[in-house]
Order: sequence, then structure tokens, then C-alpha cells
Amino acid sequence: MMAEVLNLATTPPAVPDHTAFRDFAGRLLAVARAATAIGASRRLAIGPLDLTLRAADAGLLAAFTHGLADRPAAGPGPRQALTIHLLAGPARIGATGEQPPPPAWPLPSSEHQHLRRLHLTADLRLYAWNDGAVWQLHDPTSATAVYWARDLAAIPEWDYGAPLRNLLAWALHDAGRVLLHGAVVGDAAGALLVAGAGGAGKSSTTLAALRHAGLTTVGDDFVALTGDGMAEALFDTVKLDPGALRRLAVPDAWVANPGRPAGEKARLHLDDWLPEALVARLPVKALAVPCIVARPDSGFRPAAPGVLLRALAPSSLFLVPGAERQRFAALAALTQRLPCVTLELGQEAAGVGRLVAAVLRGLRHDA
Amino acid sequence: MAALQVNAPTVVAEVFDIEVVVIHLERGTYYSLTGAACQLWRLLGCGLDASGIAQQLAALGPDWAGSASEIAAFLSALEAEELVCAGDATGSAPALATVPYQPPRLEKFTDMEELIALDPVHDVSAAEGWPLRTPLGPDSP
Repeated sequence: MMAEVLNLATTPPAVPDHTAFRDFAGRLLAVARAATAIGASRRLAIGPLDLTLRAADAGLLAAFTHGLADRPAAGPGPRQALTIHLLAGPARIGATGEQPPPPAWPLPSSEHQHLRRLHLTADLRLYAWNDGAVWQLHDPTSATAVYWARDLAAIPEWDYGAPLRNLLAWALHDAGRVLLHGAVVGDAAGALLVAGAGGAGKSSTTLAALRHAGLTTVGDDFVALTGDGMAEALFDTVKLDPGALRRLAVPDAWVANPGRPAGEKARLHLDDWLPEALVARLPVKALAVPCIVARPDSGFRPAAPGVLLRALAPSSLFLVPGAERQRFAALAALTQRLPCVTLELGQEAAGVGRLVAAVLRGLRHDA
Repeated sequence: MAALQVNAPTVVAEVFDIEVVVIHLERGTYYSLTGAACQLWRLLGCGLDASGIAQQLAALGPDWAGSASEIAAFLSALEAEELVCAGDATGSAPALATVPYQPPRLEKFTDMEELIALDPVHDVSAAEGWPLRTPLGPDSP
């Protein structure tokens, strides 16, 4: 019976056909709903989203919930509901029904060498990664989404560090937010948005400021930004490379992924170790690009806004698909409007923390 | 010669006082344009071809007067990178600030290309979705 509900391995139409995408997505959603109808669920407040996660597997639910920042942010506009159905492996429906995970992209395709498949429209967002190992679907009309992995092993490490990133980004867009790649650290009076590619020093700056200057954060990697420059927390994770772990003297017990593959960063969860340091919202007052220097002490100097836009926009646009032109415009406006600095990060972690606090004090003084 | 304009919607750009930041959304490359490029970029989409752009810039001062061949070569480089293209956009040229001539410079960054190499198919009706980089919904923020 369920095979009639979900015939995902449908024969592709000969030509690209939007109806085929819509039909496929509808069946994907129907099975995910049925498979998670009896299982574990959890409600969280993520930025402007009232999120309900439903999962057939309690372990998967716990793993994803662990990485999310459950902190409601009273921002502009009404709160928006989103239900995400989580599956890993076959969908088991009732006593006997079982559906395998979705197949490799079963829809028209002219290029087969790519790992990512994507279909974006105003009313349907569908994404498949690694030849269908992970599927993500967002149907904004029904405020419903699906995350379906072929099995637990198919879930990449970054999905534990920033769970459900694409789905949240699409829903946040509908709520008037921009998801950007950067760290935000400061306090209620003002915060720095620290931009840069992976390994630039965003996370080590953030953790140094939390531990040595008593500041707070809304995230070290991805945050939401409102139209009035308020950054909102989405994830509770901090990711550090081995050098940063040593410089910051991070206790081994704080590392949530000790058996991580070589090359993967260590993942810490702020809610486990520094819960008071993760807050719902911070007002962004300046932009910073980090620069690691060989000397012990830290300092800062003014930076050209173009440098900041180059540090902020490319990875923000290319790491999360969708609405690139609008997000670029929002990020460009931010760099035109706010002061920009280069943070010269010395080897002494306490000095980095003090530097961030000093920059923020200087901004208040100038204001 | 055809008028030149920004290769939108594939290319996005922001003009600052001393730099233009440009991103090619399909290739994953991004660029820093400096020197005379900041003035030059403002003349794209005004209905000017390469020689018209060079003429406008030459009027900025004596030190710009001998820049025509450098400007032409730079525009060719922008076309080769598919950052600008021929088009039928029209408009009036903006008033440009008089600044000392500095040769136009293009710096290309390719560290994001790997992400794009994994990127999407272009197999959907242009009327229905990808590859159009249309808004996901109503304009925001």
C-alpha cells in the first residue's frame, strides 16, 4: 500500500517539468509525515521560528537538538512555525510498511557529476546531497520540512555542527532574516560580527572573548541577521582546530566529537559548558576580519569595507543556497553602514578576549 | 560596438570608494577591482560601449587622457571573466568624482570554486525555478 503512496523512483519525464518536482516532493513529504507520526518530538524556539522536530529515531532527534540554540528571540515580525521531519534509513510506517530512503535524484538532469542537486522556487525548496545520501525539502506553504539521510553514517559532521542549516536558512528568509557565515560576539550594548573563511579565527576569537572578557555570543559560524542589524542565535556549537584548542586550553571533556575523522574540527556545545554565554540576540555595531599574527599580543586597525565584504559575502552565499542576490545586497548594505576593523590576533588567548572588549568599548566611546 | 553592462543576474557587485567587490555566482569566483576600475564600473549599463566608456573617463582630467588603451584592455579582461557583457541597457552616465588616475586592477579569488564545483544542475525550466536566482519569496530583508 505504501508503495503507492511513495513511488519515489519514478521514471523521469523526458524534459524538465516542474510538475514532476512538485509531485516528487509531495510524496516525499507524505512518507516522512507518516514515518514520524509515532516517534519522538521536541519543540524549540530558534530565532523567530517555533520549531517542532519529529523523528522516528530518538537518537537522531537528540543529536540535532543538541546543536540548536533553543532561545526565543523577540524580533521584528510574527513568530513562524516550522515542523521538520527527521529520518535516517528506511521509513517504517505502521507494523509492516517500509520505504527505502529516497533514491538518487530521480528527476531530469543533464549533469551527473555533481554531488548536489537543487531545485528552488518560491513555494518549494528541494535539495539532495551526495547523490541522494541526504535529502532536504522545505514546503513553506505547509510550514513543513523533511531531512532524510540514507543512514546515520551518511550524515556529514557539519550537519551536527549546524543542524538543518539549509532548511533553517530558507525558513528564516521567509521571516525576513539573512543567514550569514560569521561569528557575533559582544553584549547587549553592541557586538562585533567577525567574518572570514573557515580557519580564519572566528571561533577562537569568540571563545577567547567568552572566557577571558565575559562577553556573550549568538554563534561562531552561522547566525541570522534581521533587517535592523540584530544578530540571532541558531546553533550552540563552537568548532576549533587543534591549534586553537591548545591556545585556548580547552578541557578535553568539552569536545563533543573526540573520535572525529582526521581534519575535522573539534566541536563544543556552549549549552553544555558555558550556557550563559549563548544569548538569543545581539546588536551588531561593527564588522571585523581576523588576522592571526605570530606575536603574543593582539591589536586592531581600521579596515576597508570592501575587505569585510570579501570576507563575509562569498562563503555566506556559497555555503547556503538560495536568494543569493538578496543576501548579497543585505550584506553589502551592512558593510557600507558599519565601522570595519582588522583584528590582529596574537598567540595569547586572554589578549584576544581583551582586544574584543576594547574594540567594543571604543565603539561606544566614539558613538 | 555594443554597449556594456554588468552580467546580471549571474554577477553581483558593490561599489565602494576605493574598491568594487564583484562575485560571479555560478563560478564561485570573486574579485577586487581597484584604481580606475571604481570609476569605470559606474559607467556600465549606461548605454556606453568600450570606446564611450574610455571617452567618459578621459574627460576626468589630464592624467586620465592617455588611459584609453589600458581601459580597453581592462574591459576586455572583465568580459573574459564574464563579469560584463554586451547589452541593450540605456541610461545617463553618472557624474564621476575627479580623482587622480590609477591603473585599473583586477584581483581574482578562487578559494570558493570548490564549493561551486559540487553545485547544482541547471536542468529546470527557466520559467519555474533554477537556474534563475529569483527570490525565494517576497523581497526581504
